[in-house]
Amino acid sequence: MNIFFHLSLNNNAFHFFFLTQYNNIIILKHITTKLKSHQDRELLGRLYHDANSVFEFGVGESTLIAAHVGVPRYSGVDSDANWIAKARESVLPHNMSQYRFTFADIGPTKMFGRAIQTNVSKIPLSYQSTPLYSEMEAFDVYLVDGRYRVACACSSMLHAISRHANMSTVLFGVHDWSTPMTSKRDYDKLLAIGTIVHKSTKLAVLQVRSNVTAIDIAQIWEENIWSTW
Amino acid sequence: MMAGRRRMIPILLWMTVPFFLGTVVRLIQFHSSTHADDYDNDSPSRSRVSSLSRQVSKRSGEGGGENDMFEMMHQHLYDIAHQSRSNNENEAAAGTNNDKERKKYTLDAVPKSGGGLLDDVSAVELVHC
Repeated sequence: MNIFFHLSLNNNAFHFFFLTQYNNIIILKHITTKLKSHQDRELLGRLYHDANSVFEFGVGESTLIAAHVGVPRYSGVDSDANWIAKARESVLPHNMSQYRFTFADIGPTKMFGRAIQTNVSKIPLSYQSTPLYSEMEAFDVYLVDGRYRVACACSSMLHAISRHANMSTVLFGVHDWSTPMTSKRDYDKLLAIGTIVHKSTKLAVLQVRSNVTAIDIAQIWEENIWSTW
Repeated sequence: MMAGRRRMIPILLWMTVPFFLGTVVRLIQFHSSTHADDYDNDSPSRSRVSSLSRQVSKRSGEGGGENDMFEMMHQHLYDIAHQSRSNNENEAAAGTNNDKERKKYTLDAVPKSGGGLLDDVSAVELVHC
């Protein structure tokens, strides 16, 4: 069962409500397009315009921005298969059929794309490393706008290092970086390994500090493997 | 007069329902933000924390560079993902997971409605396959 419930516009985001059934339990599911503020859009537009490759944890409006400005190499991952399908369809009018979309199986999801069972052993592998593992070259920009953001930011940094990127130029965007959420969701742990080089309303863009080692990044990743934010 | 009022009801509903739903969304978001501790104490990685650090030290001593740290983390997550499987295998060896015995597949398992996942595939599509 999957019943469309209502659509409303609130806080600059479209909200979709579904009644869905999982193991005989009816769940109110909420999906939001997570539209960004104009400042976020402009910043992302500038960064993507100058980028030749983009990787995204969590697809959505940012994917459309990438297609609009013509980023030639794009790869994105999401935990919602329907959402992935919508994103894939939405870039076709931009002639971006080469864009790669990966479905990360973290089990059934509830509101805000969270896994219903949070301790399923496949979750970190499916979401945090496998989508990047098949990418043989580093990306110019990594955007973290899905779940497990601290872990995904760390995995992005280690991916760039492993693919011999020039770390002084690679950018790591983290969305919803706004007080008081930043400390509550532990995003500020990333400040130990990165420094903010661009900031808009809710988007922080970091670069890896020059004195940070891959071991430092891996330790933060390991500490936050199960942190769903 | 009454007819005019009746015409206003759906318009008023259309104007107010999204507002109330929006308020509910904001309340849910606020609730979510105040319950940020989603760290699951039963998470499989708890028992494995710091195993990676030992691997890192060992690999560094062998001349393994930091460049393969991503590879090592991927391997670490792979181990976590398959930890439950190896646990099951150990339990099977010890004869303690009798409730998870393998079943043989027979035609009795075929759903009465057809072939399971292929139910929704039309005959035409199957011909093209």
